[in-house]
Amino acid sequence: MVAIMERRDTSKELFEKEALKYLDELFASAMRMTRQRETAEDLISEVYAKAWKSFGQFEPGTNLRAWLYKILTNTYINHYRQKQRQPLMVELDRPEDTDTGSGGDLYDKILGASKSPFENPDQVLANRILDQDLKEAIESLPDEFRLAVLLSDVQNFSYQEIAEILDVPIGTVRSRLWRGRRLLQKVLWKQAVAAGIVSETPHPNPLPLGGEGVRVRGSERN
Amino acid sequence: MNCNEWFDRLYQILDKDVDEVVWRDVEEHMKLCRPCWDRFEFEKRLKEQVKKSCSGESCTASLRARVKALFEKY
Repeated sequence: MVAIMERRDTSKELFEKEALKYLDELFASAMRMTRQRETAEDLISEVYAKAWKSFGQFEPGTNLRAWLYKILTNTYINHYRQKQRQPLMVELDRPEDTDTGSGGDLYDKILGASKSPFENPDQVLANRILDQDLKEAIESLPDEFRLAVLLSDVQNFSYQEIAEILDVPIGTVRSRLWRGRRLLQKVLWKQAVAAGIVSETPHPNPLPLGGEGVRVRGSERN
Repeated sequence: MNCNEWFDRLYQILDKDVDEVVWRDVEEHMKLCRPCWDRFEFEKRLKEQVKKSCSGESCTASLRARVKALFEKY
């Protein structure tokens, strides 16, 4: 009996050591979800309390990191989402506006913008859009899109892993990422217009960039 | 693969959610099509910037202590 207890303690401590490796990144994710430090700290405490309690359910050799993210997203969705209603930094249009490609196309919009004829979209992104702008834009996304974008872009999970973490079919992951990223670009565009980085009216004579002018998706593309 | 077919798969390409056969078509198309190549580079940069701006926050020593104390409890 004593020997069994000891063995269990050892593996439990090993589990603690492994799980704590992800504390910083889980906390950063919790910050993007809850948008508030104090709430993020409460959420993380709850996540680890659940992880410690259900240690026995974790199968060694499976993906501990993905398992912790599953607990994080479940706990957030079930217990935190309703509690906090922070005003969004950027007012979003109706979600259905983002269903089609043209709604949030930051790239094409920058190409055609009147204040940026000398900067290509890469340069605008690198020089004008600050980390803080991006963080605010991410935080303004509705939950279902924000979680998908965070899990893919920030945590580098595969579509299959994201499907398992969010407990949705892989096709749903694809469509949430598509719409989430279009929406993100739409928010970034609005921020850039509000900050005077670009102007909403198209430039009358856009400069050719890399041998291309403003592109029109569809018939003009090969 | 034409531009529209390429664009429909843009994010799957970006996230490497395509099989080898499709990937070969994608590479072939991007070698020949500058606008799609530029667009891909832009999306890749945006993805990297999202990662950079949204990570890097460390938890405080007090939260770490709180989490470790929970471990003793359960």
